[in-house]
Amino acid sequence: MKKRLLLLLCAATVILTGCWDSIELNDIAIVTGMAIDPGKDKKYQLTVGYVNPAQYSKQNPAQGAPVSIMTLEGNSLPEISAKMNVGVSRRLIFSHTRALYINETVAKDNGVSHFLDSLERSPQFRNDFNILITKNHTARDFAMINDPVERVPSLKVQKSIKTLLKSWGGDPRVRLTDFIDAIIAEGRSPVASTVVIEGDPKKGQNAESNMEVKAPAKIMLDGLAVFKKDKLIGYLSLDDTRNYLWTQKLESTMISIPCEEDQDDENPLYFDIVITNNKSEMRTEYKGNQPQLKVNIFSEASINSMQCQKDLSKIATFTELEKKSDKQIKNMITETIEKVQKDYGVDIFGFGEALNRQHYKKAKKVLPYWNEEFARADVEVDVRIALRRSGTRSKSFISDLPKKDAED
Amino acid sequence: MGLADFLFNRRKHKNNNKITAEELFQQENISKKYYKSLEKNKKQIQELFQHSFDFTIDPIKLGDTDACVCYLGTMLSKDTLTNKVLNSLHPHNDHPRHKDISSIRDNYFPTVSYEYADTFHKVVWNVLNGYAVIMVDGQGKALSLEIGNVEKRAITEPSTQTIIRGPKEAFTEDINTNISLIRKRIRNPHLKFESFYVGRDTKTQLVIGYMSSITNADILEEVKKRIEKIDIGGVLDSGNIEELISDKSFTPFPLIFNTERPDSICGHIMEGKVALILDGSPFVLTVPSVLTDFFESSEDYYQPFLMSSFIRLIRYISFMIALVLPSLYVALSTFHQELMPTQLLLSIQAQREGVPFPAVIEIFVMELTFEIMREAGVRMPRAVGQTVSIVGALVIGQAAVEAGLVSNVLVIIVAFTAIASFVSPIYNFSISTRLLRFILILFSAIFGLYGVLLFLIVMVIHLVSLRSIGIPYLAAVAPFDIKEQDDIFVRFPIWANRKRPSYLYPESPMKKKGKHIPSPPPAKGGGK
Repeated sequence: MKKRLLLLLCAATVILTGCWDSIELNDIAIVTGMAIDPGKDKKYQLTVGYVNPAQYSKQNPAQGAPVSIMTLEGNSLPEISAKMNVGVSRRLIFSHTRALYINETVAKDNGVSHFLDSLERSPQFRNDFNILITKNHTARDFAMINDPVERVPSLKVQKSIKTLLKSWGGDPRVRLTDFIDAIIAEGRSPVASTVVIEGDPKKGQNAESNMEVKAPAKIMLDGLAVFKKDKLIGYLSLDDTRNYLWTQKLESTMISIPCEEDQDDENPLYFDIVITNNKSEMRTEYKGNQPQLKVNIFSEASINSMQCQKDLSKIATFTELEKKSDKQIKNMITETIEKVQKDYGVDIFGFGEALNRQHYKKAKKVLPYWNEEFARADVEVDVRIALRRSGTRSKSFISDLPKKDAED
Repeated sequence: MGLADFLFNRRKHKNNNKITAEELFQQENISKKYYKSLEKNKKQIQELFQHSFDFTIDPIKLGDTDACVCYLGTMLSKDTLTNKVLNSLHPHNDHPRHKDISSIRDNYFPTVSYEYADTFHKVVWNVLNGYAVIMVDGQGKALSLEIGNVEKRAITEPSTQTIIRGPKEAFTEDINTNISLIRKRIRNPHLKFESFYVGRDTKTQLVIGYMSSITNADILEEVKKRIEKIDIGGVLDSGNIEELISDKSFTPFPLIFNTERPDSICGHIMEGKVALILDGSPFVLTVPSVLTDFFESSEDYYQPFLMSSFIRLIRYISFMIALVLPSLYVALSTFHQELMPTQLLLSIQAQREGVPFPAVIEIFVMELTFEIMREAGVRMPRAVGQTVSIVGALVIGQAAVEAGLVSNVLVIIVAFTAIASFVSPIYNFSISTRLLRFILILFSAIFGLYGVLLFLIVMVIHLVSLRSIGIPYLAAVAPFDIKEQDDIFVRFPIWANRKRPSYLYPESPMKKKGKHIPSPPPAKGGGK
């Protein structure tokens, strides 16, 4: 009896498993990009871009488009994607989706939560694709723009976002779960990246456009989309995005700072610093009834270019430059925060979450109407830049030029 | 003479080890008695050896006594026979009358090694072993003279376990040569060799070698017990012995280590293992063996320890590669496409475009093709070996890809798996992975990664259940022993490796007493 039971249990491990869904590589279409537009007759219009594998073959690369797209209308994403095979021969695999383009109209009117639920629910979707709000053109256009280097457009967008984040900052690094968390959080509002098409999307769809040195159409990153709950309410520029990121988690960025505050406009001089290490801390307090938002930033940086006539072999110069950088960056960040307060009145920075952590009792009272509190709060940004290095040069050769020449 | 009697007799002689000819022949229908009459003995032996062209019986006269020399002409060197025996018995020599056989030996063959045969069994046994047996009329025993051996193969370099640095000798088919190769390396009176005879018909000599000061007595006892239990018509190679004495036959893993390298055997004996040397086989066994033995080459101890540790790790990795790589490919490409990086998936998918078979069929066909080629390469005459490699590499590999029957990445996987499976220093361990690989592919094709994992779990359970002469097959790993890790996955420097493997329960557990660490001499003078 015991033996039989054991046998049965062993058999169960083999028979009752969910791994029967084997499918050959020849029978799948790998979806890399999805685009959501408002439908004409139904709620949504979904476009999927899937890779044409023959394009990747080393032996006999087919002459054709690197991706194909398929567009269908429907009321929910799962239904549409299940129906895709009306025009697609293979089963669509969504696990390698790299970019989700959401038409701004959809995000503004319907909100995004309806379809985000199905994405979160599906086991196929990973949590590593980018959520992108498309401006000016339909989301469908974005899934079609060819890229001569990466070929598959969505792979290009993801790679470019990743690289930009490392070199300059400019993507909020929002993933599906972060976005959903921010929607439901009381002390934070969600943001997403925005993209625009530069050029003519009609020409960019043609595979032959890859032959041209100057691509006729390009997908470019364009900053931030600001949400209130799950609805789009506005945009921030790319520079504001970097400033936003500075308050969050900035990996590295490059910033040019004017040498003198009131220099002549004809020949402005700048020095560049590259931020290599960044620490930011948010503090939210109440002074009486007035909310105080504080951001403390400490960044390590090194000098990357020097147009000023300053002697970098002296420590005093470093201190001076540090102070200039502090001030400039402080102004930039304060401006961005105040702009968000004034224009949108939603806390995308997460000051509410900071309050919740730091003053829990107060937070309990104010969080339900936190966005109003955020809008009227005082902002104080404290920036401390530590210049550690000056590249492989100390003194710039510019400072060795005779004063006269430099002035001429 | 029943089986019970047979076993009983065996047991009786268990401890004094010297097996007599009577014992060996009690199964045969041979009379035992050695007569005083030469005629009777002659008749007896002629009857026994009739229809054997190489059996010779030369009548001679010792003075006026009748005598005869009988031998198997093919089992001894005829030159030596003539020089040492026949010449001294030449009729024109003056032969005084000798009273007994011992004075005959003293007078005629004072320098030849000899034995007395007082039973007919012994006479037959000696003849079969290449002795020249002199039977004298009226004597109660015969004189057996040992004549030089027959031709044998010279000691050559090992053909299966080659190394770069280290001794280049290999065992041969001759058991005495083999024992001398071991004795030469371990000059110690505690090195014991005990002789057994196995095979009812072949009566092959099987010698166990061990260090009586190191080897655990219980293990030794168990080995002897198993050898005594062997009951079989004939053994032709140590492979037969391996199957007859191992703890379990239904396993793909070899439970007994074999090698043709004397230095490797000596290393094992010095650790406290027992070597089994079979006459006629250049492969010597050692028991008990553990899984990790099969990942060790004797060269590991001759190369710098950092290098050999690295190489040992490589062996473990390549064992895993040889085992799971094809099935991993099947599982990932047909079940878990999401586990692959996008770019890799795209490039694999691109290569598979137009391949008409499912991945599992594809890999089965290719693995099977490779196994066929490998077998053909081993069996075919050397002269045509070149053809196989050309046909194999070109036709099967290149052409199949170009014809679009298999994908490029698959050829890489099959080839890499094949290369990895050759890394194991012991050949019969690498063949075990061949078998398992096919089952694993099947599992992964049906259940995906889950199946691979399931199979590996079952394999580990099986491995843990295995024993070699009662010692856990995974000893030092499971049951885990931290103190043994100095010579398992990596090798510590020789001076740091002071203990013999504890899972062998050696009688003397330490290899060395001191804690000497080599270091430069202290600086003289100038230091201050």
